[in-house]
Amino acid sequence: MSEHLVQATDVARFYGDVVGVCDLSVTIPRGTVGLLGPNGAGKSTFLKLLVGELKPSRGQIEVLGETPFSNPRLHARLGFCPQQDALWEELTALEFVEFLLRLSGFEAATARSKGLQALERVQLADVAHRRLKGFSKGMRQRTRIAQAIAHQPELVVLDEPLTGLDPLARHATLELFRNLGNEGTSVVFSTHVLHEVEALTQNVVLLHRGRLLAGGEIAGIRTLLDRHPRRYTIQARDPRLLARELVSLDGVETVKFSGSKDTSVLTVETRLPDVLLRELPGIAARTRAGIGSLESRDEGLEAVFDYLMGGAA
Amino acid sequence: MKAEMHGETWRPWSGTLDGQRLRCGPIVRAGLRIALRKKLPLVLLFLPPVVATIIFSFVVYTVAALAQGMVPAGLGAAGGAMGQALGGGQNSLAGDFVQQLVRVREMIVGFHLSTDLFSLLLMAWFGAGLLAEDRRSGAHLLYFARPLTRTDYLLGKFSIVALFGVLGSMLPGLVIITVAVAASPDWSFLQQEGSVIWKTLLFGGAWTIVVSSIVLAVSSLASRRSYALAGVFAFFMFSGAISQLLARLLKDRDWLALSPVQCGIRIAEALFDLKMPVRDWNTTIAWTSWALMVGVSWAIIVWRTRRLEVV
Repeated sequence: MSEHLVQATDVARFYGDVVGVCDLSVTIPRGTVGLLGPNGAGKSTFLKLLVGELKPSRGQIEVLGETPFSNPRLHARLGFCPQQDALWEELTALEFVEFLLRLSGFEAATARSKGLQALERVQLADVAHRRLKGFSKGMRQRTRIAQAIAHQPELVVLDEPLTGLDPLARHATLELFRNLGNEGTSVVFSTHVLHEVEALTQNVVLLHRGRLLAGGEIAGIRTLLDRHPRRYTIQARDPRLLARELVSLDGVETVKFSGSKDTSVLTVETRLPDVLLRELPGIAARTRAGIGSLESRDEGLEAVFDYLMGGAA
Repeated sequence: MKAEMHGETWRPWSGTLDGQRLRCGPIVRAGLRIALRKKLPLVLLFLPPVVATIIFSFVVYTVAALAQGMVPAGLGAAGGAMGQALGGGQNSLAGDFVQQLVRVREMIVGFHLSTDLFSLLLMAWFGAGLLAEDRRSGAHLLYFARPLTRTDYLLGKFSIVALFGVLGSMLPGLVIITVAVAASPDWSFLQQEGSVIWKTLLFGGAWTIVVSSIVLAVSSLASRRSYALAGVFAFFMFSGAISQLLARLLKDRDWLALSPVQCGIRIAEALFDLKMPVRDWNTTIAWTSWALMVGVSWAIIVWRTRRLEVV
């Protein structure tokens, strides 16, 4: 049994002259992983390579220790929710999920009960017998998710699963992914909604123009980006006093003022955040600048993403 | 990446997979379910063959009954007139019983050829979207993320079209034959013209395979159902017109083999041993043409479904 979820080695996929992904080498551990990148980054291509919908033009890819392309044995172990609105309008939600379960080899009665359970998990049990043509975009998305999880696969691959969902449904869907993770199911999903990725997992793969930009824990990737100084915003009653002390600290590159008359905000950029965080309490006590809050603005995924995209552009 | 940053426990998949099982059954069932939910096309496309089958059954029954010198119950005086219209009085019909059975057979073939055109409409209507719509909506992504082979997929799609072909082509013919058998005294139709049963099955089956293959090939080339539908009709109309034109211009009737419909008529004439062959061209060429059409269609289908991965 493979230790890794995905092991890709120099994988490339071309559509004629167009590059889908190129020279992609990445190892993804079991668990929940977010796949990030702007439009055209190669996320969907990578996911299709994972589920065996596409054959790599070159290189090798292994999912759960097996080659995915044309591998029915592996397909029984994974669930895929494509981005495309691929539903059969004349079928009911239950018939749709049931049909795909039958394709996976389940008997009629089992397929029906598993279909109902899956629709319940995505909160569509009450409309299970309604035809899909009357479904809203969000309901259609949840139906697609239901078919991906209905057969309790070992790995669920979802292409932009949060698209089209309202905030409540998004929350419920993220909760569902979290539960799947807790049950031991690995989840790989692509998305643009960065803060929701952060809420779900710290493990990301960033793609840009078909190439791997970064992979791993968000904080770890941020540490590697040392050419970008860390940015902190400090709200203080008297920021000028504070600024005078801070500019002399090792690593501090810029200090900027902004804000209103009453509450001024000081933005500090430093290459040595440890030094700043260690010295700041002493400086605050000495200067009596009245620090109201301290925030790091670029620790998050969004900042990491911006830096990486900026560097890759 | 570090595997330890995940709190989840790893649950290995523990299901079993029957690797040998054909999985085209659910595709056929779902395809029929979808088709049967649209009532208007069903009524419009099935009503004419159903009505024609009922009327023809009655005509065949009448001819068979008159051949025995009987007027069918409920026909009354009209029966005599019909007997006259069908080729003579009751006495002459009774006197030439074998001849009447041949007439019944020829009526069945004529009916068969006319219902084949309806079956073409049925197969085109219900089959045109099968591959085109999967391509357009990306449904193939759902299919091929399942333990489903391309053979299962194509077999499932083909079976859907072929089933409509069988319903429109073979079934009405078999109903008429059953009526003829039941109406003829002492199973005489079965004894004299029994071969018409397997010939109907052979011809209906071959016609269904040819048309289903062409419909699926056009569907695999089209990006929408409507385009595929137009493509199928265009193919049948243009091939018919061009084959007729070339046959007349080049004074060689073998050119009619370019049209699947002309091939069908020629094959039916030869297969059912009709007495009025007006298309005296080579039957082997007609069979070869059908075989080539099926071969080319499947080459296109396989090529296009291999390309389904690139979307």
